[in-house]
Formats: sequence, structure tokens, C-alpha cells
Amino acid sequence: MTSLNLATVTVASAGLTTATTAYIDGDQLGTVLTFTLTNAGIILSAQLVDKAKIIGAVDLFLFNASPTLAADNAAFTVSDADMLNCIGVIEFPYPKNLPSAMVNGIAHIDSVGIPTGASSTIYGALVTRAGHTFFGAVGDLQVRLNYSKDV
Amino acid sequence: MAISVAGASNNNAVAFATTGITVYPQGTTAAVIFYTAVLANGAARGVIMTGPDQNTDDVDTLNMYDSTRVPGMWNSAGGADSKGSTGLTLSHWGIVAVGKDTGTVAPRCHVFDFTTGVWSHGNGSLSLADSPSTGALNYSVNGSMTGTFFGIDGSIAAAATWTKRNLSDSEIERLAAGSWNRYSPDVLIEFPSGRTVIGAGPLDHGRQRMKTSNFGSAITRAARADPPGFKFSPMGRRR
Repeated sequence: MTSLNLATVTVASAGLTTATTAYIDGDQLGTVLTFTLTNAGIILSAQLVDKAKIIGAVDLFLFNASPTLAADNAAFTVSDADMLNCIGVIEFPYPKNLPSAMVNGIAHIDSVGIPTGASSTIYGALVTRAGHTFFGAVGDLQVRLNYSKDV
Repeated sequence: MAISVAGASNNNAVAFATTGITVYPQGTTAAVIFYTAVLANGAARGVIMTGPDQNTDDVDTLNMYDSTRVPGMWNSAGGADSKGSTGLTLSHWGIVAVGKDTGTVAPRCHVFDFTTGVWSHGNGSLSLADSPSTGALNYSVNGSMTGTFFGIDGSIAAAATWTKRNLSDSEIERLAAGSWNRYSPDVLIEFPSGRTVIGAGPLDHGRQRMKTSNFGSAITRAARADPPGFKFSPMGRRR
């Protein structure tokens, strides 16, 4: 029987806005995320945890080379050269309805099926798909990628 | 293959009893529909009603209005029709949706035309108060209802409700890709293979929280191709 060689990599956000300026639809969320996988493979599913419980839907653009991103809270844009390195986009829905007493949220998406290519290091850019207020801490978002690694 | 809910002067509906929606002060309702008939000016036709039964739309209702088929919302708290400004072209598959934030605010109306690939978004013409809490609700997709509440003349491929979120324009635009179950709806109804008889029975693996039933004689299998993203095989699976 062939092993699936399942593995997980988790990265917290950095550089999120924590005062004054709200995000609008299409804004960059924080700085580039670096996912260090134990080997190249195929991303199977993903989760996005929101400790502030404020986000709506979010896009996660994945690249096989580090892109130059817009500043946090500015309109998301990447160059043509960087977009050629984009290996896929994960569309997180807005976090599922949770009991009101909860102070956080989580969005899950499965059936992703994005090959990472030859590299075991990939990069991510989070982009808002709905406006919302600022965060409580720069690391309030956390992305988990579940993947099947090549061996 | 979608299902048709049409038939002039007939009282037709596909009703879905749920116990999961008890209050709906904000949220979004969307449907994938195809019109075959022009509405008279001013006529409101309920595509989706959430109320105690299929004839009562106490809670935020997705309506289509006028001969231009613009989407909008009505609820008993607001007591008025709040209409969008852009309508769905006759005989085109489209997505129509309406959502509202909490408080007395104008709903947001959305239309997507699968033929042209164009989305339109705009606020409704009036502010509406929040809907009342009515306890366990029926959720119905209506055909040509007699009496006060008139349904669509055409076909419907899917319908869904998000009870706690007024989806943003960008979130709504994701719906054109199909597979609405990815986007966390609280109620999702699809019509695999356009079955002409949707028997009363649980849709939630025996938890008895959702049941379906038909009303009227003009619930038929739609004899037209489904829109992209909403194609179903004879086994009810996506192609």
C-alpha cells in the first residue's frame, strides 16, 4: 500500500494593521508568508485561523519564488514576473458561523490539489475579499497547509 | 438539469422546512435562475421566501420585480420592497442575490448573467429594518404562486442562504464558479438531475433538520442546458 506521506506546515501572519485604518476589499493582508515544507508535494487542504474574528473571505496566492508585494492594507498587486511564479490561489470562504461567545474563527477548504513544483519552499500572499476593521495583533492570522509530500 | 417552477395561475412551490434558521437580521440569499416570462411592471415575485410556511414571507425574501426582473428584498419589519437597479436578461441563466447588514439599511442587490459574464452590484432603493425572529422556518423556492406572493416563471438550478453574513461583492462573485458548498452557506439547495418529484425526506443525513415537499402541479424537469458550474450527471454528481 502506498503511503500518502501527509504533512502540515503552519505560518502566522506578520505586519497586519493593528490601529486606525480598516481594510477594504482587495487589500494586501500583512507581509509575504514563507512556507517551508519538508519536501515538495501537493497541497491537499488548508485552514485559515482568525484570532480577531473580523475577516471575511480571503484569497491566498501561492508562489514558488518570493514575490514583491504591496504594503499591508494597500491594494494587492504583483508584477507580471511574479505572477508567472504563481502556482495557484486558495479561496478561503468567510469563517463558518460559530457560537457568538467564541473570540476567533476558522475557514477551511479542501480539494485544493495544488502541486508545489520542485521547490519545498513556497510563498503566500493573503488578500481581502471583503472589507473589515483592523486586527488586535500583527500575527492574528495563521495559515495551515496540509500536503502530501514527495519522497 | 435544473428544475422548472412555472405555470400561470398554478400554486407551485418547492418548500424546504428547516429548523436551523431562527433569526435572520442580516444575511444573503442567492439563486441561480432562468426566466421564461416577463413580469408586469410593479409585480413582485418571490424566488425564495423564508417564513413560517410557503405562503408567508416574514423574513428577508429574495424577490424579483418589474418587467426588467431586478432583484430585491422584502420583509415584514420593513414592510416595503427595496429594489435593485439592474435586472436579469430574459431567457438567460443568471445568479440573483440580495443581502443585508443588521440595522435599518438598504440591502445590496446582485445580478450575474452567465451569457455575458457580467456582474452588477447596487444598493436597494429603500432601507429596511431587521426581520423579526420567527422561530423555526420554512424556506421555499416558489413557482407561480397564486394570491399575494408570485414566484418565477422559469427554472432554478440552486438556491442558498447565509444567515449571518451580508456577503461582499467579491464574495458574491465567487458564486459564479459553482460548488456553493465551499462558501459556508447555512442552507443550500441544488436540484440534481432535475427530479420532478422531490419526496419529503431528510436532506441532512437523518438529523431531520431539513425536509422537502412540493406544492402544485407544475414542478417539472427543465428542458434546457444547465448553467456553467451547475451541470449535473444523471447520478446527481457534477460533471
